[in-house]
Amino acid sequence: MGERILLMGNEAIARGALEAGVSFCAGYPGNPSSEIIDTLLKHKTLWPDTAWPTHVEWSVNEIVAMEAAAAAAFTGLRALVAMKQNGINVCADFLTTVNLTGLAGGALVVVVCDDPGPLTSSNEEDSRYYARLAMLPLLEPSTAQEAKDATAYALDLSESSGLPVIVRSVSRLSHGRGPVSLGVPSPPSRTPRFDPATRLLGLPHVVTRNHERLLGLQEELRLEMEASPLNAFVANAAEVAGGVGVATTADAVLAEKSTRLVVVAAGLGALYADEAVKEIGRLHPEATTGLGVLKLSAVWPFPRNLVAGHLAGAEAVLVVEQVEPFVEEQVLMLLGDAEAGLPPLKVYGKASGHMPAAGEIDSHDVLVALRRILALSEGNVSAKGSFLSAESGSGAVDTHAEADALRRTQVLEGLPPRDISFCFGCPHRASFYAIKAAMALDGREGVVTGDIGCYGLAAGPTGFSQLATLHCMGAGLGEASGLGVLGQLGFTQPVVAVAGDSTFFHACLPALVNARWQKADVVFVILDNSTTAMTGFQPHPGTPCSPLDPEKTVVLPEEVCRGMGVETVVVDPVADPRETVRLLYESLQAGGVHVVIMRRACAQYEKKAGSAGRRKAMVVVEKCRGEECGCDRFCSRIIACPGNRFDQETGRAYVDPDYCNGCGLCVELCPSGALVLADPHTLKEGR
Amino acid sequence: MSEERVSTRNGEEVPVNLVFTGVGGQGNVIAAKLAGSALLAAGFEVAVGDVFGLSQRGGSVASHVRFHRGAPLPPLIPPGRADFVVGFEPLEALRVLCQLGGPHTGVLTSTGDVPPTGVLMGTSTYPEVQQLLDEMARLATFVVPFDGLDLARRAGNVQALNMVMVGAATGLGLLPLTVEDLVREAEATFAPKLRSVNQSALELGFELGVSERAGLERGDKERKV
Repeated sequence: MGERILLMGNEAIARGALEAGVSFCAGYPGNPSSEIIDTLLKHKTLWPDTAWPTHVEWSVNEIVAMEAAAAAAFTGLRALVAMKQNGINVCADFLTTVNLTGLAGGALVVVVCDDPGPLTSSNEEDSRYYARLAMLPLLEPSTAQEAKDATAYALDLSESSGLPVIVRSVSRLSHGRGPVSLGVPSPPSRTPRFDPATRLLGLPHVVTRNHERLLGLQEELRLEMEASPLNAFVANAAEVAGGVGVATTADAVLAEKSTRLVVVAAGLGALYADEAVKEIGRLHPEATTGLGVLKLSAVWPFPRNLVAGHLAGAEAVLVVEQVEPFVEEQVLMLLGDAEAGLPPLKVYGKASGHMPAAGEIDSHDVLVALRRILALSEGNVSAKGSFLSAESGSGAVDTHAEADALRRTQVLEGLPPRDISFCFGCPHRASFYAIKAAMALDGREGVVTGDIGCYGLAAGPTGFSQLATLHCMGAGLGEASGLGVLGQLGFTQPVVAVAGDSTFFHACLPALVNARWQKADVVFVILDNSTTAMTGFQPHPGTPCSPLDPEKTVVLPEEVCRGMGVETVVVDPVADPRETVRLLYESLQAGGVHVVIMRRACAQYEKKAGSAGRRKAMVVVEKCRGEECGCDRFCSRIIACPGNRFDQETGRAYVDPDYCNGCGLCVELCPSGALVLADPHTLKEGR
Repeated sequence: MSEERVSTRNGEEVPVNLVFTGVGGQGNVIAAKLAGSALLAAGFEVAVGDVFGLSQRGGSVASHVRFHRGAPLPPLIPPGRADFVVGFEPLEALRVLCQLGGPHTGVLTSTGDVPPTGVLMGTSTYPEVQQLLDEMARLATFVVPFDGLDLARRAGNVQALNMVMVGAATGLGLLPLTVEDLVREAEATFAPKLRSVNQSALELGFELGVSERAGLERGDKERKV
């Protein structure tokens, strides 16, 4: 083992793939998975010990990424594909056919990062069900170290089994950081070659035979999971998650015999269980006698014998896992199976209401569940059920602590919220202002459909609450295609669909063809900010001069749209808001399919690229008429750019230069013409 | 302070829990990464809990930094268990103090306010900063407020506020590190052209923390709950 460094879970996954000799990696950005490919793209400079030839790409979408990576595996290479939970839905069609044909000698690890209690997603989904659906091995690491080790092992297992192997992460693991010991990488040993005799065909006459073959592999794979060092049992609140290969100690084996309550904890849940059990141990040492934790990180095919062995003799089991009761269902099935020979025992978890059935969990949730199950007094674990500090933990019922907790709750409720909003200088602000204005001019109760991305914030006040629908990527245009043909049934409202530039290539092309084919009345606005902004500025096919590869062909969205026979205009919504409104309004009146590309680079991307201008907006105090203007503080209240402020004392607007990128939208739109663009030196005299 | 907290509770080592909080874009992620790397180099087991993406768009952000000498830690600080809140912005410092703090929690915060969008739009009001600090003083075991933006400007860039805060937290004794530990990590973290600004910010913050620590030890601001 080499150096121990702090790595983000996603960096650890990338490192693990490299240590196992990966040479083909693909993905589509989506939090919390984006940094896996981001890291792999720079692996040669980041980790010189992995400087072998690789192909790493941001693909146009997840299914293309998976198909490309699988094809690399068909030639004998080791490949990785990474995505968020929504992404594996996009891949589902391929995943449930490539499992039948197998990989023809190479290896493919499918990394899926779920987002429990979504921090940055449009759904809450448990990707582990895809392992069951496609009958593929599933690993669920609990620490950054294990994320690295499990990814490397997944490539070995994929190659030996001939099947893709799924590694499931969650936001807190992917975006958290923990210590990782770097191993010695094994460079790729093969030159890619597609054996001319190989046939990977999902033809009906071989499907049943391949299905039987896949079913036949399950037993062998289950035995692999049963024996995996990724799973570990620890009795009496000892350390549970010391990384791969925590051995069951002799003491633990002895104690195991008297285990009354077994906590079965999957993935990161094992760390939360560990912390909660230790907390119980501190407050109620007697309660932890007979309390054991079975950590599961090699999850599918379900290691039923391992679990049954630890449940034999127990009185109850608590299942701790993220999102859905995937493991809990398996435990219930085990108990219902006479062959497992288990006595009736109580199962606590999501179904029993002891663990939250939806949303993210943490140590506190496990502590509350344990306290209920073990019938421990509330007083000693604190009135509010929160973790106790040592300082206030010694007393009995602590009324002081109770009053203190109440005070915190009251103060919290009184604080002004900090809603997420468009960044300062964000071009989406201008785009949605134009959409709002054009819809108002049109006056027919227009509907705006959209999807995820930064522009999803148009559902909120800084996007003038314009967005009416937000589902999966590209859904806004498909929905608009449907709404746009309802005129014949009496529908009278105009429809604007919005999608980002990266989303356009990912998921909008079939829907745009459909809208044209069906002669729908749709104005499709492509919010082209030159990057995949939300996930960290990844390139896409239309990115002008990708910094990763300036030679790469740029696919222009307008050429694609015009190629489909759709009338298409391009406008800068920030530089020319009035023209943008006019183009939108005219398109709405004309009927049929129209594309309006609102093109202006993301303000944060420009700043990052160092191409932002030096000028800033400033208020000419003599021209600002404050409340008397009748503009209702247009720049701060309506446009609501974080740089536009209002000074209560002077009754005039001002601009905070730290929050201005000089885009000029407020300058363009101020009804009194009180804003100008000036260089920062002049600005010092402003306000 | 943190040295005393390590390995004290009931004889078993309990993690020290520190939160860097502020507004999306203020640099809490880099601050937590730098502190975490320095703690690991100093021999601690470390976990950093972070979220990127949507929440970074002007929303409240918090990076959890947990460390001790022992087993791997989960990345989230349970409610009531934050030992220290390091605020890049006073409203967010109070928010996190309410969410994750207990009577034992201490606060170090920059006083420069960042109004939420709702305040700019007139749908909510931002309390006086002094009111926020008074409330923190009622809820926390100590509060150390200072103008972090001023130090960041003196270092050469307001964006170096995050390094000022890491430096100040270390100087105050919330992180068992030296300023040299931080500077070493900064050299590995930042591009050469950004190093001198960030190093100055760490040093200015550290000096501020050291002098505030002397004040705390004299009992100037400490208030036992």
